[in-house]
Amino acid sequence: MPREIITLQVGQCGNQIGMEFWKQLCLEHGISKDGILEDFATQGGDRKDVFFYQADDQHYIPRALLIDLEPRVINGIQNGDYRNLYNHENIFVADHGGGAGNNWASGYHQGKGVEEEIMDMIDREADGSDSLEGFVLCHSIAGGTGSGMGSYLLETLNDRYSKKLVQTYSVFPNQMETSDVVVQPYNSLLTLKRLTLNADCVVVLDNTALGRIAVERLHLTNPTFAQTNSLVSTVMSASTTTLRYPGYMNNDLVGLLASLIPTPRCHFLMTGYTPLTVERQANVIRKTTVLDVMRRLLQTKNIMVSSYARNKEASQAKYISILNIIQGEVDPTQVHESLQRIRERKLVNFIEWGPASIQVALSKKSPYVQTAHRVSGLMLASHTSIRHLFSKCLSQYDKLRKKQAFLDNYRKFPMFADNDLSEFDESRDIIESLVDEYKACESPDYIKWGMEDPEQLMTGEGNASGVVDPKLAF
Amino acid sequence: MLHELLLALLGFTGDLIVDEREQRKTLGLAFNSDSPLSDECTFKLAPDISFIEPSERDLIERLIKLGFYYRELDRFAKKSRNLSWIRSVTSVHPLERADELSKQSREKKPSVYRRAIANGIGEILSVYRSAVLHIEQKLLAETTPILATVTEGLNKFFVLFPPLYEVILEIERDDIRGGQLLNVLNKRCHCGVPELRTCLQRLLWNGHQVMYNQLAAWMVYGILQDPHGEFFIKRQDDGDLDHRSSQEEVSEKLARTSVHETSLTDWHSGFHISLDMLPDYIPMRLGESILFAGKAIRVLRNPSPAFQFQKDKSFQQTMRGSQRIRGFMHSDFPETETELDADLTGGELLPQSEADKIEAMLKDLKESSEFHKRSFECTVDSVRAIAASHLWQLVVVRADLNGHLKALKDYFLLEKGDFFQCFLEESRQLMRLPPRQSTGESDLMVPFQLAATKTIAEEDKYFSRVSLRMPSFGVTVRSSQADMVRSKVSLTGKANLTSDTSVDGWDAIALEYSVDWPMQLFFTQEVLSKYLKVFQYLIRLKRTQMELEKSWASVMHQDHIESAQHRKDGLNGSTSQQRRQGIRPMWRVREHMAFLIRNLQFYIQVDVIESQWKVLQTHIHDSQDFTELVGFHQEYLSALISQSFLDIGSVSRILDSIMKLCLQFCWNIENQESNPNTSELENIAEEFNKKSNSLYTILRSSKLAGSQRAPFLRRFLLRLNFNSFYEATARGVLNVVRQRPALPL
Repeated sequence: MPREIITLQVGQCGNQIGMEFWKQLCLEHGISKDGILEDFATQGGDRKDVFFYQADDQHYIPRALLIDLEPRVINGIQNGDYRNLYNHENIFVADHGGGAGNNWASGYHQGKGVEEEIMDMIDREADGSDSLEGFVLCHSIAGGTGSGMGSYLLETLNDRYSKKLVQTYSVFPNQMETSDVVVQPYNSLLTLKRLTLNADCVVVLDNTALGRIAVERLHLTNPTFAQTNSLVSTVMSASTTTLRYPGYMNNDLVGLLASLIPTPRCHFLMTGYTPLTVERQANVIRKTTVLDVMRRLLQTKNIMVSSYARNKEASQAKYISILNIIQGEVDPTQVHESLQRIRERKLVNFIEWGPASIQVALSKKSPYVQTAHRVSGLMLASHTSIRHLFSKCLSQYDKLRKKQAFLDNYRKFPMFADNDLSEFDESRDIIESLVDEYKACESPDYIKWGMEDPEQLMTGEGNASGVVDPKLAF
Repeated sequence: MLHELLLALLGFTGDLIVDEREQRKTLGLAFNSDSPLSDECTFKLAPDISFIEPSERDLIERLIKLGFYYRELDRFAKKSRNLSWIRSVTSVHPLERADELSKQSREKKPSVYRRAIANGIGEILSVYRSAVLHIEQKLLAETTPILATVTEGLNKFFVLFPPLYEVILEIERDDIRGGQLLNVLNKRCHCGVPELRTCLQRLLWNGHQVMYNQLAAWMVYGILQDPHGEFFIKRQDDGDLDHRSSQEEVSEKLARTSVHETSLTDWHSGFHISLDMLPDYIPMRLGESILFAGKAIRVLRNPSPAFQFQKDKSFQQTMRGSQRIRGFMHSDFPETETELDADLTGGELLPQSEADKIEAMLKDLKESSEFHKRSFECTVDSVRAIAASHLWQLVVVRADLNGHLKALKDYFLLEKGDFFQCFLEESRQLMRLPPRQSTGESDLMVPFQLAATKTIAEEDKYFSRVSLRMPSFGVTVRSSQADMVRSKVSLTGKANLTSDTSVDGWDAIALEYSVDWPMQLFFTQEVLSKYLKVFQYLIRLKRTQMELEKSWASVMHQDHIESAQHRKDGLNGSTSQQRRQGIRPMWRVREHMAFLIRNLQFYIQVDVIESQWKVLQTHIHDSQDFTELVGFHQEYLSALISQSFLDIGSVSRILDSIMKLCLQFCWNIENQESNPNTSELENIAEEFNKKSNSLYTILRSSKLAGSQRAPFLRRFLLRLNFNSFYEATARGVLNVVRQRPALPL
């Protein structure tokens, strides 16, 4: 059954990574830049209809909505090589073209304004699907459009399509360097609240880590956006291989996500990919056995989320779940050996309060994309150390908030009108609670967390409000 | 006097030398007709002759024994060679004839082998006759004929005749035929007298001629040419009649159309080795090789018309015109045409050159004067190899074995996961209710077809072979169902968990796979039933997994709906918090269940199916031999079954009940989404915890740890207990199981 997935790419970053994603999918399915199946792409065995639909003239068209409040990136797409791939009715650019000014509130507010128009587009796509499974949102959480409008869309989708899954690929800003977007902590916090409450799964793509990987792993001195975006598209396409090349398991989004998210709020996933290549990049990885791939996937340097944890905390961080999608010519007997070796060498630290293991899904590889490596692997993992990323966001927010800096930009919009900053506070509480929950996951007593005496278990982390919002302490 | 003696030596008695037996007969004495051949020489010098010295008498008595032996051997030879059309010849001797007739009525079975032996004996006898003739000439030439001449001339026959006579006595007495005959001769060959040995070897050679002819018919043409049931390869159903087989041969030749249907049963059970007829000096292994080679040739020579049609369509059309095609299509087409077709394709499947090669090899064997076990073995092995490789060619290359194997893996081993996912999705509503006896199958057809159009379309040419069956109850209760019943019984004692468990009727869903000629040779009913067994297990797992995922998704949705409501109404979600608190333990139970089911699936998929598949593929790749292939495939299947624990009662039972609990759990949650019946869920949860614990204990138990399966069990265990959670739980460190009911719900 085509368990269709509709992709929403929102904002500059969302559209850029979305574009790379579609490029990659076209390559893997043997679809030309114009959406026509290439002559060589006759092998079959793949499922194009999850992400594409076929128009009457046999063209494959991505089930994608390209949404932005400023025209620059989308214009680029419309003038680029792949201009004929997309359905032009699915492109939305705000009439004024002024963007959201890196202001979450602006994006959110504008989203409200164009809700009708965008939902019409989504409805049309949904009607064209046989059994829509869910949505994928590509965006960044730092800017204005992707974060603000993306947040609004998340909430709207929850209302309108409450039975559908929502997965996001969320790009987290680079927090090591000073950003050109000074209000990015505000934007991030407000978006994180929606990601926590309204998404089923968030794949965290940390720009800091992407940059580090590009420099360290790919030996690029000055990685361009296109290069880091190609990392993202690699991850995105790899994480959807089990949907596009069906096998025994994980053939739908539910199966994929359910296996990774044992507890509803902890739905933020880290990814790792090996071996990494960027186009025209000579690669140095020599041997690629399953064990190598699985071992490397567990190394922090290959993980696309930076660890802000201090050493002591890092040692306490635990994996809640891991799914490795291994592609290529795999000797299946090696999988067991690798698992055994990893367990023996204690390379992976799992939670203690429930059963957990490295799930290994073998998947096909596109026959049309030539790679230098026999085996490649993607890791999707839920890891408690992600809380440090959120903590970092919180601390940056706190710094800014203490100074009451830049809040005027937000007060201009209805949500924050009359100096009502409760949205910030509420968001902060939710993220705080999320951090706490992840922290609790590190303890074997997690099952009792939130059940009996929440405060008792949360002594380690400073709790600003002192009392956990009852709604959150589930 | 001398002539009297010479005549007696040729078996004719007279006044001087009398046959005691005949004498007795004429005297009206009791004649034991049961022993057609007397054990002892009955030729005697008439006792009333007084002019012969006792020493001479001794000599003559000794000599005329030869005459007796000659007569008996001759009689045996003639009788054995007797064919109805030469009876007139033998009827010269009314006595003998009467004798023969009586024998014939008693001993119904003529024997080809015996005739061959008789021919051999005939040869020896003619040597003897010429020796007697020679003596006569000598005697006539000499002025003073002396008895010594006779003795001297016939001396060597004293060595030969008595043992030969013993042989025929044995043959007659025990009615030895076919392979046994060869056996007897072969045994007797091992004697120290060179003359006798050559003589017996000659006889054996004669016997082997027949065997080689039969072998040639069998291994070159695939025909069982054995009118009297003497060949060591037999039709299975010829227990009652022997000429049936020959008739069948004829009828088969006449109606080749039905051959492809019968050829299957032929292959699997049509022929067997008759141990009675297998000479001791041919080992069973060789016998089996011969059996296989013949069967293979049979298959190669008689391809199914459909197969022919399919393969040769274009060829036929160009070569023979449309008239022939019509001949094909009709079921009862003229015999000659079929014959031609069969030859044509038969020739194609088994090139004439190969057949010639086999024939030549057999001919070489046939011509060698002695039976060399080594060279016989060699030949049989190479013939077998030829047959096996051609059959391999047919099955693997022409009939696309790999495609079929892949298709079976796709559908029976659920590799086409999306298809089954879709099917289960579509039939989910249906499967919530127990299957209806009469329409269960047709009810399922709708989702099955729907799933097919949605996921497969026309992409997979093998899909048309797959069909879904829903066996009606009671008729085909599978072992799994029986297990279910058992687990049901064990459960009812615990709680009212099993009140609504009739849904398990759907576990009887079966797949069928239609195989064309010649793939039935490979995919026997037995093989397919093994596939089915695995399939039923996997589909049950898949169903469980999907239900668990469904309930995951529904709880996620619930969450979203509430947060949406909260946003809209600005409510402080104390009720939702309550609900969450309530559902939290359920999340954990669900997660445990999903974890177990998922890891079992991953284990089966990666560690079992894919690993075994890889092994099978390498084997297929390396092998050129059909029998080897069948063996590898069998290994593959039994590995699948044993490694997925289908044959370990304790494990599979517990897994069954775990799956059941999972389903109950999901349905319970779904039915009472708003207000879960906590006590019932609690019961299920507790039961599940117990079961999963005992599963772990069983997997760990020393009993299984020592068994052959230990490696696979360990593999599953590794996945299950990767973070030592099960171990810890089993040790009671966390006391999860006991604590649960105490949790506020």
